[in-house]
Amino acid sequence: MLRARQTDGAAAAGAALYVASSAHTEGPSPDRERGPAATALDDATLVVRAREGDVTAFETLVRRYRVTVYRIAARILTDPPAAADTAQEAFITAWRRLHEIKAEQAFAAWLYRITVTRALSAMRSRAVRPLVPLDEETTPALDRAPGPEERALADGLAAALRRALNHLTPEQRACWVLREMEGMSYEEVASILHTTPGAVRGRLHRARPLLAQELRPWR
Amino acid sequence: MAVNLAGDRLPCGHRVDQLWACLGSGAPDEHVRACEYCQAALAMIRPLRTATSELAAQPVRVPADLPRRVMAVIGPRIPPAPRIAVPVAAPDRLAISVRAAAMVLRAAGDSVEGVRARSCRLTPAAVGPNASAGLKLTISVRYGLPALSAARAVRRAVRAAARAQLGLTLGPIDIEVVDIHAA
Ligand SMILES: [Zn+2]
Repeated sequence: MLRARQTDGAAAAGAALYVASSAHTEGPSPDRERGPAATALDDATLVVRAREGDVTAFETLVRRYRVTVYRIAARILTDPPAAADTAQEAFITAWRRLHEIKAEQAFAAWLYRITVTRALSAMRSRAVRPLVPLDEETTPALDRAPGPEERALADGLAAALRRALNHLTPEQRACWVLREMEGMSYEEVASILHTTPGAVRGRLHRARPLLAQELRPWR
Repeated sequence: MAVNLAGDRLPCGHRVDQLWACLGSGAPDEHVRACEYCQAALAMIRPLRTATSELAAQPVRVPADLPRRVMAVIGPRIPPAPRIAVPVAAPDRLAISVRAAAMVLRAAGDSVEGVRARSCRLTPAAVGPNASAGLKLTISVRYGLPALSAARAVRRAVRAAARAQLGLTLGPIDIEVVDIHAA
């Protein structure tokens, strides 16, 4: 990477100007605001400005990512007020820790990591444990009372899955939300959850039979 | 027939992840079409795949006041920025915060076609007749734009804005091109 600068005073001496760049392309963000092209500044520019106290720049980032941040929180927590609190706290934490970002272009992944961490701790603190306590390593019990199934059939497959997700551990659930619902890669999910792609695959593999079991009435 | 989805592999050697991925994308291969274990596993996970897609497609209603709530907490917590004295006829005095000045100077940088101003560090010693320390500005330049002429135009625009809008005469302006952005 080239890195040099041109200083005003030295310009007359024909100082060369180089470009320091990671040749980065702007990360596609799912809910980029529509607006005049001139105002659609890239994340890295906004992060640098916000870090220097430009509140407007940070507000643009909040508006750009509010949908994804809230949606991730809402899908992990399944409780709109708690998700709103978590999303708010995630942005405030991001603002406080902007100086910790190493690669400004990677703002989105960094923000999602903060969001998921907060959502998981909110989940643990309110102690919404799986309805059927299951160790991550164990296989599901095969038999359950028919009651829930009848209820499940009545109000739809998606609703049944939403309930079934409560049977997962917080970590399994976060994996399911990020990989299967947000469509992230194993690597992205692993980086957000501070783990390895292999561990993510493992959690999904253990989550699948539990969820499939809950959806048995639809087979 | 029920198969054990929790095992590493089905009795035929296929992995459940492969079948799961295959439900999401392509057509099953010949083995899967003919294999009773694979078919049994598919029957067990198909509703889960459908449910996941349905749930993921459901719109999420984001609270409209989220940005306002965030900014209401952040705003009051911003520490005050240093001030720069603007030369005016005595006995009047005028000062401007470096943060406010930076917003004006970044906007001047942005006004140059293909340029986005990023970091803008203005030190009090950077202004005035005996200015020595530099204004440090980093910019991103649109791909294909000659960086040297872009930097020259930025310097002109920033200097002019400082004078016209802030009443400040800047010392040396140090520009660093730190990124290239797509058109
Ligand atoms: Zn098979």
